[in-house]
Amino acid sequence: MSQEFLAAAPSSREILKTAHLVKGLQINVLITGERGTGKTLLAREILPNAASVDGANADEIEQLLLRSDALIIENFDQLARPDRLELEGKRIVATTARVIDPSVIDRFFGITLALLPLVQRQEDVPLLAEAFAAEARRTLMVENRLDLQNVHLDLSANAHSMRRSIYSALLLDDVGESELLALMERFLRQQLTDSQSINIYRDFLYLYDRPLIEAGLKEYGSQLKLSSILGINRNTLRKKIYELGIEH
Amino acid sequence: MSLESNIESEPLNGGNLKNWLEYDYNPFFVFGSSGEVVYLNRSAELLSGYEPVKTFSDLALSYASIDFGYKTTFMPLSFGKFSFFAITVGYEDESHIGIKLYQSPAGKEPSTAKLKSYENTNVYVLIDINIALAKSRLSQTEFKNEFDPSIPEFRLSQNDFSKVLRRAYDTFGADNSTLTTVLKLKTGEFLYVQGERYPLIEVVISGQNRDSSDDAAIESLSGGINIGTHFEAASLSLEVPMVT
Repeated sequence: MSQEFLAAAPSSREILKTAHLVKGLQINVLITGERGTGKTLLAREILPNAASVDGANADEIEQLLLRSDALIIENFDQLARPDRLELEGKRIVATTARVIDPSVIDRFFGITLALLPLVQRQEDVPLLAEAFAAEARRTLMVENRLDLQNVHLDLSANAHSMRRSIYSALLLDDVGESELLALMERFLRQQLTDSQSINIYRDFLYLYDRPLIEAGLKEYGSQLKLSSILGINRNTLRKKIYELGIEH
Repeated sequence: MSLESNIESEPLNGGNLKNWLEYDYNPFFVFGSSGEVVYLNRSAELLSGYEPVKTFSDLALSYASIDFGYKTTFMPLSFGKFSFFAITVGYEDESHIGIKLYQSPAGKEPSTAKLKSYENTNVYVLIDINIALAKSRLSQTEFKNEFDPSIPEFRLSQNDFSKVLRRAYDTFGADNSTLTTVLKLKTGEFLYVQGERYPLIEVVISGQNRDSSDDAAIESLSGGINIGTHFEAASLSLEVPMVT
């Protein structure tokens, strides 16, 4: 897992700069942003050595505050009674993906840092993709380098979904014929037991046809050329493209 | 005999009555027949930094008693950080008129121990951070800084002062084309706490338009850490004691 907050987009760089300035000050910071925008990593940039605790664990927060001067509280919105928090002489950095009552913010936090979703920080995407790809290679113990240009990066849940896209792409890249056959067998076995159909062979033929035609169209472009390469009639190919709903 | 010489001729336990006026917490002005200032005490001198003295000569003429004598009128008045609940206007001849303004009681007096418990702070860093955050919100606004570079580190509640700055910048919306932050030493003005005197610095943030609905909250938050506030339609200023 990437352990530092990576910033290339202007807004991210500005926030990271601010986080480093705040590091040396006795200021409580609230970091807001959707899931997967890097809130916890940013909190670590400010308090690298502090313990981290979830807002839902009010008792643990109380105990930790007795023992230490600084604390990271994740999911601060989950804290049931923020008014009971005693921060005299203590310092917290809190994160939240949800909206917090402004009076609570005003009571505790000298500064709020708002992290934008990754779709609004496009310059950060290649930097994060490289970091996740390196991490995935280490975790999955594979050697091949992923061509990130051709990977569809799902940013719907920010870095979380993006990381999943990269792991999937790397796994797919590493699949050979035997893994593919084993995977197909496993999938079809499940389908055979679940299916009520009496035409199973034809029902699942798309699993072969569709990737073959899609790969062929990407490779050769024209249906005419592809039909001759595949050795099937041009009209048959056109019909299959239509039936399979392949966009061309 | 002029009003001034009248005061000086009155002894009080061997002292001088004029000093009682001079050091009065309440501002006191004496104007001549054409509205010129004949005398003003220290508190009035401070007040005149916030409001032209003509305001007070006009006020004196408007609220003077019909005939020679003294008249007290209760009314709320506020000029800058000063607020008053009553005035007394007096005149004994045609050539002089005096006005005394009664200051509304201020909040609790801070303790020196509390002021000294705050963290030693580089005030430029705190302001820079809050300007950076305001910039991220107001991407179309040009930010200008005029900072006196000679302000040393001093003791300040960093978290609370940052709250004040954040809310101060939040009063300026995207309709401001420029936002200027001035940081300077306030010469000749001090915060007196338990016999100690602290110089003041002033942070003035000015733009073209400002939402004043949060001013009371900012004033209250600032008061909690002994910071004075002064609000205008398009600017606000914070007076911060330099506790060392």
